[in-house]
Amino acid sequence: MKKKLQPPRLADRLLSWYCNPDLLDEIQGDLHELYQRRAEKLGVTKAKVRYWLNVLMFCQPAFLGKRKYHTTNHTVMFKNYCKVAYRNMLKHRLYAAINIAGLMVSFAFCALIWLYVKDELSFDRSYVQADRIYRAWVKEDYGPDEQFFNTYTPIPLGPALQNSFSEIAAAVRIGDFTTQIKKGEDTQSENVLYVDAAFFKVFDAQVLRGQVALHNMQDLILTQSYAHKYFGEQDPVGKTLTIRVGDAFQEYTVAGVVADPPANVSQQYNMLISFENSKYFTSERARESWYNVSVETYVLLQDKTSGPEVEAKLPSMVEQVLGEKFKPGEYIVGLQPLTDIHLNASIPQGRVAVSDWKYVYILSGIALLILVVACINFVTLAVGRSLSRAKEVGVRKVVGAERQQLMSQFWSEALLTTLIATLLGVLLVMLLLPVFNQLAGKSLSLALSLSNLLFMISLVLLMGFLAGVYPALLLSGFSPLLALRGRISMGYSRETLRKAMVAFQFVLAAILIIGTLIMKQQLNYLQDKNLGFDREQIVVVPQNLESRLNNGIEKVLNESHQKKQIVEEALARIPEVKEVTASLFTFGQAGWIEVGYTTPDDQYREFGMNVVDPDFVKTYGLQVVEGRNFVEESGGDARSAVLVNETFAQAFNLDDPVGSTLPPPFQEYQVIGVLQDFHHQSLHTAVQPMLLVINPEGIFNNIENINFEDSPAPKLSIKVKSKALPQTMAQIQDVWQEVAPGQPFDFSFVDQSIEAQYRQEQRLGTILSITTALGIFISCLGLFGLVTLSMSRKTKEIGIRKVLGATVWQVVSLSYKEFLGLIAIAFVIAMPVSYWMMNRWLADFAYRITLQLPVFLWAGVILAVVAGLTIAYQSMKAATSNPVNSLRDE
Amino acid sequence: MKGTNLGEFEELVLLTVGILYDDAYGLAIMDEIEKRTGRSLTISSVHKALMRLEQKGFLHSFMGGATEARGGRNKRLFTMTNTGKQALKEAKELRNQMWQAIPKVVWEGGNI
Repeated sequence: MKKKLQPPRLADRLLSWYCNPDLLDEIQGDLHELYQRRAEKLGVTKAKVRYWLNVLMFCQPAFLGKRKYHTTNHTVMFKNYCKVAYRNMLKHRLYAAINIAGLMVSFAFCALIWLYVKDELSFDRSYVQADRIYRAWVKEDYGPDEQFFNTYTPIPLGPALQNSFSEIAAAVRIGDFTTQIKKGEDTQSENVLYVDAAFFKVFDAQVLRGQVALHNMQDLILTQSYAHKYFGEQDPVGKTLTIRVGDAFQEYTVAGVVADPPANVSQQYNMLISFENSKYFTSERARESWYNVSVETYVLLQDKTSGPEVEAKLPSMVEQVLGEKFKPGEYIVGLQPLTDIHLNASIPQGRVAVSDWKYVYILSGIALLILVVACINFVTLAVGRSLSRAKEVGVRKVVGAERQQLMSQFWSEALLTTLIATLLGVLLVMLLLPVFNQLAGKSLSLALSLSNLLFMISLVLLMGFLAGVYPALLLSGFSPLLALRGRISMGYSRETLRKAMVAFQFVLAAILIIGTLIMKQQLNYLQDKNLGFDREQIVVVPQNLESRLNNGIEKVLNESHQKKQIVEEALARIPEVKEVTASLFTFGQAGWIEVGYTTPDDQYREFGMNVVDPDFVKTYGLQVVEGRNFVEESGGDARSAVLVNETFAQAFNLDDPVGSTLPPPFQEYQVIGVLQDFHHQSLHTAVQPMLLVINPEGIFNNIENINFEDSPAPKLSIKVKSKALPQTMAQIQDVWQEVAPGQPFDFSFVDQSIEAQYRQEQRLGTILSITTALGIFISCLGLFGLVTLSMSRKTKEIGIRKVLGATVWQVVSLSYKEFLGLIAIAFVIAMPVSYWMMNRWLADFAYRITLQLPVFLWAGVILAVVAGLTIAYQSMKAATSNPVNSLRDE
Repeated sequence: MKGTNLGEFEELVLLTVGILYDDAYGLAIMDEIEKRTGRSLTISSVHKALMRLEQKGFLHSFMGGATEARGGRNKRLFTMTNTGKQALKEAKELRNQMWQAIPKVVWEGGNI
C-alpha cells in the first residue's frame, strides 16, 4: 500500500479554524482526496501550493461561521445563571453581604481616587491652545551655593521674547498684589492681577459682557462672581471701582466681565488690570533689570513650533540683552509647558500653587491595592464555597454543560455581584464626595460624563473578571463523578492559597496601620515641639501703609512705627491686650528675608533676617540666652544693634558674641544679645543663621541678593491673654476701626497659620487614616469569611471534640491558633516594608521622630485585637453549638 | 418565486448529480463536469453550488463513504429530490419550447 501523503498541516488547521464545523468534514475530505491525486500527478510541492490556494478559496461567507445545528440558547442559559446566582445570594446572605460590601467599598474608593487623579491630570488642559502655552523660567548659576532658579522672571523678559522670536505669537507677564478697594465707606482687601493685554489671547475665557482687551491703563476686567460682589445685578461695564494702586487710590473702569476660571486651572483670578500699572509700585530700575525677578512670563507659541525648538534659540537672546555681562552657562532662560506646571515639583513654584506626582502615584497605588484585596476576598469566599456548589456543577455537567458554559456561569455570577456592588458604590461615592472634597481641597463632582461612564463600566468588567477568574477555572474543572459523590476535597494547596491570600491582605493592613500611627506621631511631634516662641493667642494684622517698600525702607519703617504707636496707645484700654509689636515678618509666615553677600575673602554666604521693633522679643516670648534685648528709646539700638540666634553665632564663629560686631561687610552693627534658636519656618527646614534688626539699611546696602519668602508688608502682632477670645477680638476690632477708619481688619492667629504649614501632611494623614480603616475593614471581611468556612467544615470535628469533653475555650483556641499565626506572619513581613517606607517619608523633615519598636508593637496589638474580634464571633458560635446537631446527620 | 430558478452552472451540477447517481459528492462532481465540458473548476465553487441547490430543495444529502485518501473523512453524498427532477425537466421543456420558437430561416443561414 502506498504511503499516504499528508497535506500541509497549517493549511488544514486554518481551514478547520474558520470553516463551519458542519461542512468541515466533507470539504476537508474532498481537499485531501484532491491532494493525493495531485501529489501523484504533479509532485508534492505543486500539490501543496494548490492545496493552500484551495483552502484559501474556501474562505468565503458561505463556508464560514458557527455550527448551525446544535445551538444552545444563550439568553435562556444566561437567565438561568442569573436566577441561580440570585438564589445563591439569598441562601447565603452573609457571604453575599461580605462580597458586596467589600466590592462596594473598594469601588467607591477607586472611584473617588479616579475623580481626584483625573482632576489632577486635567489641570490646565482646558485652554484651547493649552499645548502651545509655555511658562518661562530663569536660572542663574554663579557656582555652588549661588544658584537661583525661579519661575518668577524679570519684567523685561516678556517683551524681549516677543520681539526676538517670530515663533512666539504672544508673551504675557502676570503679576499680582494685594490691595484695598473702596466699597462705599469701607475698604476691602483684594488680590489684583496686572497682566499684559494679550492675557486672554493666551488664556482663553468666556467673555460675558464688554470686551477684554485691556488697552487702557485704567481698564479693569472682573470675573462674574466679582462683578456680582461689587455691582450686584447691574451691568458693571462702564462703571468704576476705586482701587489703591501704588500710593494712591485710583478709579478703574470696568471694561469687561469674563466667566470665573474653572477650578482645575492654575491661573486663578478675580480682577485684572493692565500691566502698565506696574509703574506705580515698581522702581524704574526693577522694570529694566534682568536680575530682579517679580512676574511670571507665559508665551504662546505659533502653531508649528515646539517648546524645545524655541528654547534652543534662547541663549542667543540672553547674550544680546545682557551684553557684556553675559557669560555662557550663567544665565539660562527656559520654557516649561503649561500642562507640566501643576504636577512637576522639580521646577520651583511660582505664583501658582502646584501639586505633586507623588500623591497621584500613592493614591492610585492604594486604590489598586484595595481593589485587588476586595477581589481576593471574593475569590477566597468563592473557593471556600465551592464545596457547596460542587453538586450543582456535577449535575450541570451530567446534563451536558460544557466547561465553557460553566465558566461563563461563574463569571456572570461574579459580574452580577460586582454590578450590584457598583450601583451601591455609586451611592456611597455621592455620599462621601463632600467629605472627600474637603479633605483633598478640591471641588470634584460625579458628573455623568463619557469618561466617567467608561471608567465605571471598565471597572465593573475588571472587578468581575478578577473576582471570577479563579472560581470559573476551578469550579468548572470538577469531575462530575467525584462532585456528585461528594468526594471533592479541599486539597492542601487550595487551603494554603486561601490562607496566603488572607495573609497578604493583613500584610497590607499592617503596613497601613503602621504608616498611620507613625504619621500621627510625627504630626503630633511637629505640633507639640517647642518652637522656641509663644504662639498662643497672638493676632497678626497687616498695617496697610501709605508708603511702599520701593520708595525706601526707611519711610516704610517710620510710618509703621508711628501707626503702631497710635494703635498701641488705643489698645492700652483693653486689659487683655498684653503686647503689641510691629515687624516686617511674623511667625507663621512661610519664610522671612534671606540675604546673600560676598565676604572680603570672596566667599558667598547667606543668613536670614527680620526687621522688628523692641517689643518683638517680648511679644513672642523669645529667650535671650546671652546679652540683652533691644531697649526702647535707645538711639544706638535703633541704629545699629542686632540680636542673633545661636546658630548665627556658631556659623559665623562669634566666640564671644555679645558686644562683638557683625562680620564684614556689616561691621557697623553690634551684637547686643543672643537668642535661643527658634523655628520661624515649618519643621521641614532646619534652623538657619538668623538675626533681628531694627534698622536694616546698613545690611541692605551691602548685600548682593535678597529674597522675600513671603509678603514683606509690615504687620502688627498683638498678644492677648483672654478667657473669652471672641469678645476680646471684637473689642480690638472696635479700636482698630477707631484709629484706622476704613482700613480692613484682616487678622489671623499665629497658631493657626503655623498649623496651616502642615496642612498637606495633615491631609495625607487623614486620607491615610481613612484608607487604613478601609483596608482593615476589607481584610476583616476576608478573615471573617475564611473563619466561617473553616468552622463550617470543622463542625463534625468540633462536635466530636465536645462529646469527648473539650471545653468551649479549648475549641475556640483551636481557631485562634490557626489564624493568629497567619496574622503574626503577615505582621513580620509588614514590619520591614513599612519601616523602609516611613523612613523615606520622614526624610522630608529636618526635625523628625526616630522610628521605635513600640509603634510597631502597638500596630501589632491593634491588628491582633481586630482580627481576634473578627474570629471570635464565628468560633464562639461553633464552640457553643450543641454537638448533637452537628453529629446526627450521618 | 425568487431563488428557485436554475443558473447555468447550477443546472450542470444538478445534471451531474443525476449522472453520478450513487456516488455524487463534491470532488466527483467536479471531475465529471471537467471531463464533459473541458472547463477548469475550483472545488469551492462546486461546494457552493451544491449548498445552494440543497437550500433550494433540489438536492438531498447524507454523509458516508469515508476512504483512506480522504484521511478518513466522510463524503457528503447528494441525490436529486423530486423538486430537483421537476426543475430539470422544466428547464429542458423551456429550452425545447424556445428552440421551436426560433424561425427555420435562422438555421438555413439565408441573408436578408
